[in-house]
Amino acid sequence: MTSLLVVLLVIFALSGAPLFIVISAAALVSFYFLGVDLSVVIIEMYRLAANPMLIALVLFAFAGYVLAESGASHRLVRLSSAVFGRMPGGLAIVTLIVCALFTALTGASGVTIVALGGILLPALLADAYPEKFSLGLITSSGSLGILFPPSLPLIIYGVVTETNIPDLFLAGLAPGLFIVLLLSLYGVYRGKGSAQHASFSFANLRTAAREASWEMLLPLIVFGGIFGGFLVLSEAAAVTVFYVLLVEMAIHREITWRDMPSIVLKTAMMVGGIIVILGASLAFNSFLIDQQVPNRILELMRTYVQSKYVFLVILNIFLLIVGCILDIFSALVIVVPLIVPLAASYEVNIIHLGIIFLTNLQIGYSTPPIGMNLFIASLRFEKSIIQLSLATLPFLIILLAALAIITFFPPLSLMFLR
Amino acid sequence: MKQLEDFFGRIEKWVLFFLLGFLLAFSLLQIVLRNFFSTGFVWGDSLLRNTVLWISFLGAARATAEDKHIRIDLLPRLLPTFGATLSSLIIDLFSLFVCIALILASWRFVMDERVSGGFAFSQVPLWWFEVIFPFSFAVMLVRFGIHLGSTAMRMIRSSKGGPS
Repeated sequence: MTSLLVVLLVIFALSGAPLFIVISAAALVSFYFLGVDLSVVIIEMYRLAANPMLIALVLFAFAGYVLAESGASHRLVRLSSAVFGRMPGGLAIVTLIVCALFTALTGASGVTIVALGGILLPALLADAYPEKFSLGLITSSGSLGILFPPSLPLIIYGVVTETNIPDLFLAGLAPGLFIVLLLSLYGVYRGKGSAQHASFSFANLRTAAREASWEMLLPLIVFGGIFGGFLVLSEAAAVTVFYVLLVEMAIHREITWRDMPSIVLKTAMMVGGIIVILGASLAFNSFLIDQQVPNRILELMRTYVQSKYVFLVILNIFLLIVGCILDIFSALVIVVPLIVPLAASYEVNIIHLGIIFLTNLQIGYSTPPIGMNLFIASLRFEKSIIQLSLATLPFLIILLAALAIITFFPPLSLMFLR
Repeated sequence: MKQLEDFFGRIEKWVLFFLLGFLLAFSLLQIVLRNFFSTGFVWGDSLLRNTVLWISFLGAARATAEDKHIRIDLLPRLLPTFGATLSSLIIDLFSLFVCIALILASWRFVMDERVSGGFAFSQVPLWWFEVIFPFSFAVMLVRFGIHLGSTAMRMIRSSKGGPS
């Protein structure tokens, strides 16, 4: 009976039922069979309202949508081309840096490829980069930057595990930069033959810097506010929104009051979609914990796996598979609570675990069959998924190498922490 | 029916706009009060957290109308058109059924809370905030129903041979 229900729910999930419906159903059915009043499911969901970090989630998501609708992406491209344009592989580096910054600021909601792909792909092709390389570069860059603050996946990991989110922000910096560096080296290697018609000029740089200066101050505000001890995370988010609105509405005047309702609606739908899954998972996980499921997995693991390193290898393979099937937000919410006790018993630092998690899921964005980047790029550039998968292959190999180093060299993630 | 849905959609948009505006303005006010006047509203945090809950659940209800829920649609991609339509029907029915269960569970929850009489802050009872659960699940129920209806209509029409 139980296994029949499980199979049925899995089929529903794979057939496109909203995940929060499937998980709610799992929670409702489980508690029903336990003979517990079903209102317990809602009691667990209401625990959401006790979490102050969700305020930051909503506000950062909103700031991200405002930035995505504004011309910030163009200004970022112009500035970084003025800095790196003349180097061999310069435009590849520009692509990587701009995508990483934009993804971090807009919260990895899939807007990067849509917002930047249209500018960057023609530019890369015009500079005589091969089409396959350019497509692969942009597709795999779409999720680059989820390790940089204030990306929403970092915040969600902090919410789910109840770890200190500013610590996670610090931990993501070096691994994130490391990934950008590795990919940039590959870009320089492949871009040796590319045309470099944009010659470096200080005048050019000065104009671009002046244009983008307001947006470039943004990371400073977020970081300064939080680590200077002036603001807690949710307050930093509120100040960020205020600042972004000021810059885009009053200074650049690219966003008007008329755009607001639709931006608010987009924000509410995205955040709502994530939070209902989070609520349903809280309910279902409390059932699993009640039934000691995590403990049983732990015992099972312990009988076969003793070494921390073997555990990490298995974890990475498992997460890569999860990343292929689930989107990053549901993967975090559903899988993290089950893995945390396991990782703790193998003495994996919970912050390091978060960075491993997010690196895996970032790679999952670009892996077939249902990596979100592949779909978005396929829609945006009108190429087949198979063509894009082949184009991203070399980038995936580099990302996997970076993942291995991040996993087995914890100081990279933990060096900035006290 | 269409007009009613449009009307509700507009109200929904403005309520969300107002709630998000409030979330931002009140957060900023709290920062100013705390940093410059060393004061603040004790109940402010609770109010903000409940506002986030409202934004989220109203947003999720809206996402139901626009088909923006997070989902894994692996199988329908592999099925022929008819199979995909059929599976969409079954999924809608299933979602409808789960929504009913959620409405009942959350109604029970709100009623229990009303009797036990907790307060969010000062004289504001907790259950005032918690009505968002049955309400948003009910909105989702209606929207899954509308989706189910339109898919069924499409299926009937195509089986009669081409759209009318």
